[in-house]
Order: sequence, then C-alpha cells, then structure tokens
Amino acid sequence: MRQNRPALLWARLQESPFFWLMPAAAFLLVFYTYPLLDVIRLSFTDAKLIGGDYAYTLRSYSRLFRDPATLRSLQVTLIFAIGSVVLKLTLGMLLALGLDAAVKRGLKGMVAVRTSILAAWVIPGVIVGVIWKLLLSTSSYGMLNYWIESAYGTSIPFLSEPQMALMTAILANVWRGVAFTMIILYAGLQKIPAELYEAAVIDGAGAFARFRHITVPMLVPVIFIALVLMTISGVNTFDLIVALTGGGPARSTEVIALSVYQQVFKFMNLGRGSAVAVLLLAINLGMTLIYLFLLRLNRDRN
Amino acid sequence: MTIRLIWHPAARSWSAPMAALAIALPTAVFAQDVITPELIGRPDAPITITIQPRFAYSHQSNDEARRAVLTEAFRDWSLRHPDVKIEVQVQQGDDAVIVAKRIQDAQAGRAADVIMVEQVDYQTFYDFAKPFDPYISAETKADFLPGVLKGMTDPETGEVKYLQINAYTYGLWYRNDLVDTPPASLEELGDLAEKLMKENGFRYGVFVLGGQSVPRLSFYSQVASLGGKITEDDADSTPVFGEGENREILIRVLSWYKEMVDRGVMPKDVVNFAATGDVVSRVAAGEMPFVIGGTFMGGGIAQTPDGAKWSFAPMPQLGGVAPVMHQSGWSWGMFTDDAEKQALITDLLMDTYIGPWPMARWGEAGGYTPTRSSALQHYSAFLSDTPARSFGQALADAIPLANGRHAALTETALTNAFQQVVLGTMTPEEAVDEAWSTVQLEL
Repeated sequence: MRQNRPALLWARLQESPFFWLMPAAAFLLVFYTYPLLDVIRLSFTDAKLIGGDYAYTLRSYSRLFRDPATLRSLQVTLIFAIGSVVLKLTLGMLLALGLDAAVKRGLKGMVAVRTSILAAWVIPGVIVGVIWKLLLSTSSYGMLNYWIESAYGTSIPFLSEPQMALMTAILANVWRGVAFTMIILYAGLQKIPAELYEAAVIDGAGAFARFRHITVPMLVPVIFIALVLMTISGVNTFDLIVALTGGGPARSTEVIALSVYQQVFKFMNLGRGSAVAVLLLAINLGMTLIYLFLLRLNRDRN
Repeated sequence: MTIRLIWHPAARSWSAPMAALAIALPTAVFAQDVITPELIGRPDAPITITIQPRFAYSHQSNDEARRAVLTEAFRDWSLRHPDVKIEVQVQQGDDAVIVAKRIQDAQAGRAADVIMVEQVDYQTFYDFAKPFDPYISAETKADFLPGVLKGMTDPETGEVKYLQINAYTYGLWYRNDLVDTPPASLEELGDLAEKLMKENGFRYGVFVLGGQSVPRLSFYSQVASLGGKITEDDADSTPVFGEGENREILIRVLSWYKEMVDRGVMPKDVVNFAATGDVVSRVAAGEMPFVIGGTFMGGGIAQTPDGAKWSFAPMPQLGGVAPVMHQSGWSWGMFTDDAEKQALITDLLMDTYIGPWPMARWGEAGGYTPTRSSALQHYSAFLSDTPARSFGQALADAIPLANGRHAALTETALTNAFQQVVLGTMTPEEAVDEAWSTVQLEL
C-alpha cells in the first residue's frame, strides 16, 4: 500500500486541472505578471533609466495630473481611439456584409478581394506610417499632393495642420486595421442561421429591417469582442504614429503611448514613464470593463 | 641534391610579379577569409575586441565609398595584428532605444569594448567610458578642434572620454549663383529671401530643417549670439530660457520665424520636415534660394541637379551680431577595463577613424567634416572643395551643444513652442511661457 501512495498522489495530481495549467501559469507569471507588477512598482519611484539610487514617491502621479501635456495626450488618445473604432467598425461591417453577400451569390474573385484587404493588416505599423507619409507629404515626393497640386495648384497639409494630422493618423490606422474587424464580423455573419433571414423575407422585411432586427442583434457578442480589441489596439497605437507624424505637429498627434516612449527613452525618466504606462493600462482596463458590463447587460436583457 | 638559385637578368620579367603574388596571395586569402560583416580578423585569434559602430558608419555601410575605405583600413590593421579579432555589432534602429540598451549593458558590465556615441549623449556615458589619455599624446589632443576637444573631455575628471570622428554645425545654405555675399543678419535674410522669391519664381524664400532639430540646431546659436542662454553650461544643462533676458531673446528669435511665415517667405510645412531627406527633396525641386540647415546636408545637396550652386555660410543672426556656432557629432567611447585591450582599441581607432589620414579619407568618403585640424588643413579634399572648407571654418570655433540630462526635455518643449508659433496657434510669448512651465513641471 505504502509503495502505491506516491503513484496515487501522482495520479491525483494529474487529474487536477491546476497541474496542467502550471506551465502556462508559470509562463504568464514570469513574462507578463512580474513585468507588469514591476512597472507598477516603478511608477511609484523617481527611478532614472541611467541607474543610481531611487526613492519611493507619489510625485510621478502628482506631476502627471498637473501636467497639461498629459491631459492633452489623453484627449488626443481618446479622439484617436474613438475615431478609429467607429470608422473601423462601420467600414468593417460594410466590407463584411458586402463580402458575405458576394460569397452567397457565388461571385468570383472574392478570395482576391479578401487577400487584398488583409494585406494592409499584415503590414507592420511603421511601414504603414512611412507609406502614408510618402503618399501625403507636401514634399516633392508626396504622391497624392503632387497630383492635387498639378490639378489645383495647391497642396493639402495632411500632416502639417494639427487637426488634419490627427484625422490623417486615424485614417491610416483605419486602413491598417479594418481588415481585422472585417474578419471578425464576417465570421460572426457565418454563424447566423439562414432560416432567420428566410422567415424575415417571408414576413416582408426589407434589407435594412433584416440588418437591424436580425444581423445586429445576432452579432452583438462579436461586435463587443471587436470593440474591446479595437479599443485596446487604438489606445496602444505607437508605431504608426511615430513613423507618420512623430507626435507632431505641435503635439497634435502625441498619444499616450508616445508619451511613455518619450519619458522613458528620451528623458530617461523611468518612474514618470512607468506612471504614464500605468495610466495607459488603467484606460485599457476601464474600457474593457465597460464593454464587458455592457455585454452582460445585453445578455441579461435577452 | 642541392637546388641552387641563380640570378639571371631574364628572371626579372617573371620574378617581380611572382614576388608580388607571393606577398599578395596570403593577403587576399586573409581578406577573403576574415573580413565578414560581423568579424574582422582570424576567427581563432586569442584576443577579441567587440565594437559597436552605427550601421552607416561601419564597414557594412550601404555606401560603396564608405565601405571600401573602412574595409581597407580594418583589413590593414588586422594584418598587422593577427592575434586580434574584431567582433562587429552594428547599431540599428531607434537612437533613443539604442542609447537605453547601451546604458543597461554598461550598468550590467556587459557593454561592448568600444561603442559609437553621439555628442548629445556624452554626459550619459561619462561614468562608464574609460579615458583615452594614457594612449594618446598631447599633440594628438591639441590637434582636435577646440570645441570638439572640450566636448570629448569629462568636465569632472578632465580626461578625454571620447574620440569624435566627425562634426556638424548649423548655418545657412544659399544659392551662390544668386547671392554674392550671404546675409549676416536674419533681417537681411528675410528681405533677400522675399526678393529672390518674387523675382525668380521660387515657391518659398527660406526653408528650415524643422522638427526636433530646430532648438538644438538653430535656437542655441541664435539665442547665444544675442547674449542669451537656453540652458546653463552645467553638467545637467539646466534650462534657463524662460528667465529674464533669455526669455526676451528667445521671443525675438521666435518672432522672426513667425514673421517669415506671416510674410509668406517660409511655409508652415517646415514643422513636419524633420529629416534631411525632406529638405533635400525640396532643394532638388528648386523650391527656394535659402535653407537654414546643417553641414550634414552637404552630401545630399551636392547630389541635387543644382548642387554646385549651393554654398554654406555661418548662421545669420538677429541684428547681424557675430554668430556663436555649436557643434555635435559622433565619437567612439571605450568601455573595457582591460588595459591591453584599451591600447589596442586606441591603435585600431587611430588607424581607422581618428588618425588624421584615416579621418580625412573616411570624412571624404562619407561627406563628413573631420574634427582634427591636420585633417582639415592638409588633406586636399577639404582644401579644394568649397562647402567642405566652409564647414571647417564654421566649426573652427564652434562650442559643444548642451548634452546634460535636461537637454532633451528642453529641446522637446522648445520644438513644441516653435511649432505652435509657426502654425499660428500661439504667440511667441505664449509659446515660450508654455514651454517654460512644461520644463519647470518636469524639474
């Protein structure tokens, strides 16, 4: 009996889900949780990237909320994220509906259409920024402005005027990310039973009524997932902005992620940069919780 | 049996080539074997030196002339030091991130033996860099341009911590076919630019390399020339631009840029033109007769269709006062504690980048201005070439740019001030005050 005891324990251990979750948990703990907690710890210090002693303090946070630049960055980030999410969702939905209708009608060339839309999604953000800069610059190499100037004798300051620069950054981000939204929504559309549409047609429902009363309600869970992912990606956008505008002109496109980079790598202010990063994390968490709450509310209502 | 070698006049015809071949063959084999992108020297050499150059300044550069000069210099040195192999780890990517990585490497004691460092980061690495003093003579030190030597020297210890391989400064690029004597004052520049713009159909009168470079490259000179200061000359580069007379001078300087935009002489677009290529493309399109820009733009401008029509002059100043010029550039910093390696590294650098002849050759190939007087004064490329001679003259009395820990913060705040003024969203007074309060909050 005694000899069998370790084997018994081993068998019980194997039956436990915790045993099988341990490798993943250890991985998450070492590579995600620990760095996250360390960033939170550093945000309560005056640590410099260059090293040396540091003290625990709340000054990083008190400066953060007194600094008008932080509030401006927050505002820019929210406009950028909301603009990106709304446009990505709208265009993604239109593309998904169009693709779905085309596939159902057996139109040829849909694989090519899907591939061309997806191509933008696989391009790294930095490259997207460079491509858009090459396209929109008022310099001699700006292709779009070259044509506009040839036709109308004037160029459009897509990247030089503060408000227009932010709109341009949003459009570039939408161009890059709309394929992802389209995929998610298209996958959601495939799960809606065809019988629902057939019954609605028999009842005399038009295309818009079918969209409003069948497609949207059935897609709500998928839309919420898309919203969470798009919001997080929008709030965290860094690479595209750096390459396209560098946060300018006059900080008009300086999103929070760019402030983190500036504080840590340019000013070598690790404590302050960590505080901004924690703020970014809080925004992401807050938005995600709001979406989850709304999703639950929607489920309860149904 | 004994083989006797008998000299015969007829042997001359083949003996010389054979002798040359005998010498060249091992060299060629050596060169093929040991000059790779990552390794210079024999793989089995007992001593290893790790070097971290910038990609464009390395023997891996995309530029053929640079690659040829550096490959030859490194090969020659390696042939003389068969017991040493050089591991090359090029620096690629974002400069700020590279600096952060180097700091962490240095703190952990795993830094490369010798690393390229930009002048604006000298302060950051003073504590880690080892002095070159034991290995270079007083004559060598004295041969560096005075401002360059000052920058390379740790102000606390008085030791030479860096060997600067090139230098750049900021001034006025002008069309020499339209302007006989470059304007010495900003007021004169504005009037002349407006006149030439109208008379010659230029799109703009004057263009400036905008973006983050503006404070570093224009304001420091334009404020200092009027007797003001942007930062203190201390180790931290403590900002003072918002105090008393400094504030007034900075407002005057910013007002000039605003006036240029209001008069239609300078476009608002400059806020988005931060890279040399952005401005050079406009020069190539023949859009303006003047550019406020750096000596580092020389290579790009020379390659434009009208490249020969462009010359360089020191920075014009408000009221035409004598310009105070600033300089910056890239250097080598030594991080190894091993004295034997330190001596070898200094010798290597002297034969590749720092000695007068290698510096001149490298400078000519790369289009950079040497930092040593002997290279500037005795090498034909820098005597005969007009822009290169102008760069040397402009750098002769140039002082190092501020590089203390608050310098980046100040530059970012002033860049924003410049952009707000040029875009017309703030007056110069408002922009300076906002920049000052931003900086104060961080301090």
